[in-house]
Amino acid sequence: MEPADGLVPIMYSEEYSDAMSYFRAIVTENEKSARVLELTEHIIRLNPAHYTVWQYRFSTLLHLESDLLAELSLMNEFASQNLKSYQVWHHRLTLLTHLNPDLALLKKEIAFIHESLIPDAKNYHTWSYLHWVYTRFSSLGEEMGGNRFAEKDWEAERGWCDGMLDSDGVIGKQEGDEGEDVLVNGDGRNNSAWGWRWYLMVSREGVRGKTDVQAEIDYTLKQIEQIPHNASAWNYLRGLHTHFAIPFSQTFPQLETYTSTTETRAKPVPFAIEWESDALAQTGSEEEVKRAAGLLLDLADKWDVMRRTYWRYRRNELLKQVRPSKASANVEQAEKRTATVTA
Amino acid sequence: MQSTSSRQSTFKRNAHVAYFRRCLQAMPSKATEGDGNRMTLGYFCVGGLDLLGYFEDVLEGGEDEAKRKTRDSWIEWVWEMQDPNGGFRGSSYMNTDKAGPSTSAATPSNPAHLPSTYTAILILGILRADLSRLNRRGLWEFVNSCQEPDGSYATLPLSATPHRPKPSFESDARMVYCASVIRDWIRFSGLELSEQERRADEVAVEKTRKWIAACQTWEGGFGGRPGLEAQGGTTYCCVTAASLLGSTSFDSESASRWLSQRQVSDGEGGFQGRPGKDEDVCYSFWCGAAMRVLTGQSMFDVSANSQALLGAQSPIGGFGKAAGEFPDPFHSYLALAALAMNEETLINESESGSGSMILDLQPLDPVWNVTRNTRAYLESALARL
Repeated sequence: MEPADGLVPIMYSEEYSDAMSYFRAIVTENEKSARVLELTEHIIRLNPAHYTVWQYRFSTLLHLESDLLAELSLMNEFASQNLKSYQVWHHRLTLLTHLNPDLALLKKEIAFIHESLIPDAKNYHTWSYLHWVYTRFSSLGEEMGGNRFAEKDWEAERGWCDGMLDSDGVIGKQEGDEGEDVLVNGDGRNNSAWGWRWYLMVSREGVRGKTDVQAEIDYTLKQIEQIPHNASAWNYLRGLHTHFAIPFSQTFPQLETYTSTTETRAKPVPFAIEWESDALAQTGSEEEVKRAAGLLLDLADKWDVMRRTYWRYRRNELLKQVRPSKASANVEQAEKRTATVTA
Repeated sequence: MQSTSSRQSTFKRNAHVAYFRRCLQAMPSKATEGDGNRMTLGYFCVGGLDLLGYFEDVLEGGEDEAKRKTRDSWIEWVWEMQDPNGGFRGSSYMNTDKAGPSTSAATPSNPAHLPSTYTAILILGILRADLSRLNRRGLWEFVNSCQEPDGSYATLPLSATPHRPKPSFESDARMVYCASVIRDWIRFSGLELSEQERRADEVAVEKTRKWIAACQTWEGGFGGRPGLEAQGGTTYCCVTAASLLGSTSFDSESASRWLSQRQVSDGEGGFQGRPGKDEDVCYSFWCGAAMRVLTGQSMFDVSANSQALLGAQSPIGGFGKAAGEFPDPFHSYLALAALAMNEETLINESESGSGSMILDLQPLDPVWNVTRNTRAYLESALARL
């Protein structure tokens, strides 16, 4: 049944080949029985990425009117072993949708996700799933005449997120190499948690337009004080200023210290120099723009040499504001380059 | 980890050719997880060989008999995966016809698969297949059948997945990228559409443009779906799909800034997929290609990046995600693709053409993610349909 010369034939184990033969027979007969659940579980344990099998399993579960809560529990075990598999999360999400969960079940689900993030705190699928659960069910709540999540639930989620970003705090325990308990700390560099904070504090339904922007800025400044080279925190600060149209110069006094060296810091923080440059450029005066361009050149030549091409590009873009004639020539050049790439 | 000792690693060209050829012949049983995506695994392997110039003898007419037979059998296998109604399946694992090559129509449990359709057509191009068997009307219908109401695309036709959660977890930037390239191919093929179909297409494309713009985050990069964290791979998919669909309704300055930050400055020139994450060779491609599509320039320290990539070569050929890791086709292909882009930049930048190591890789088109030669072949083969 396998064309001999197909690309990348896989040397399946006999166990997998046999199980797949049964599966093909079952699909041909369109059988949906208890033994289909056994067989599909067996195959999924051998190949959790098998989307056809997952799908068939789900339609069998529905056909048999099986206990979907029991299936969700089975998925707890699967998820912890296959955090990077799309299919495991996809199945879980399908189950949850069909369960039409009440708040108690949703809270259990959220607790499960939080726990899954302890051993793998930056797992993209896990965070995506958390986002999905909140966005899906908070908006459904409105359709049903009220938010499923009360303000105190959102508050609790924010507290958890604070913990994830607290490098001095403990978020949970993990099993070590010899089965011992190892404490896991929060991490101010966890970019996923920063993204989650943005969702909770800025972009989610119910909070839009109500953000305490200064509190967010102060929080981020404290994080930068703890880890001055933290890209996530600097990006968050930029994001806040851009989103709420706050001039960069307004926060520069608190950031100026990072533009210089100290006893413990041999070089200035490039993010701070960039900030200063943007703050100057935003004023729009020719003199300030030229100073801003000079700072970008410092980044290229001294403080962030690996990115020299990028910083020079930024500097050229900036100088177009003060040298319009040269600017149009540059634009033409850039257009030519784009044309070659997309041609 | 052995990268520090190898600042001047030599390019293991022959080992890479041997690695991809081994994978094409047989993958070990621990690759079973790739069973549903054999087409894509196959693309990484023949795509890697294409970058290495392995198929050049086909163009020059000097291909030997054994090699031609193998190539023909691969082409035949890919055609067998075409659903008579359009699109390609990712694997033959659901073929139930033991008597011979399966040309049976897809059953509801065996539908065509969007990423496999994208990689199948690239494989056909790389292998210089005659495309007259391509069902381009079916291809168009298949792509449309995967579109979600929000403008994104699902991996499978929506009708094949009645129980899927909405919005689906897998209807993400990767699928939007694949669909956008396929739409580009349909355009090259000159498929005739009625006035009504054209209007419907324009509505569909506009929805996708808006969806892509909604994926840009407060960071500047793009997440896999609106609201998700920005990531190198999904940023490539969004930026490239936007360029294919003619969309400029996003903040390209903050996107290029975010990309520029992904080359790790306290590392050796490699890339990370997100702030605070470790380097992984695949992001040399995702971020490097996204920047080129976005700005038309490389912007990065490509010399340092190439050195870092060469330091991550596996002694048995191929690349793992970092030095010392076991190789796989995905990382192997993307590392070579990044090296090919870097080489082109280095050659263009250096007046004399000397100074940098000559890898002699085929130049890459970062938009379709295939060599420029193959792109040219596909363009003309599609236009002949």
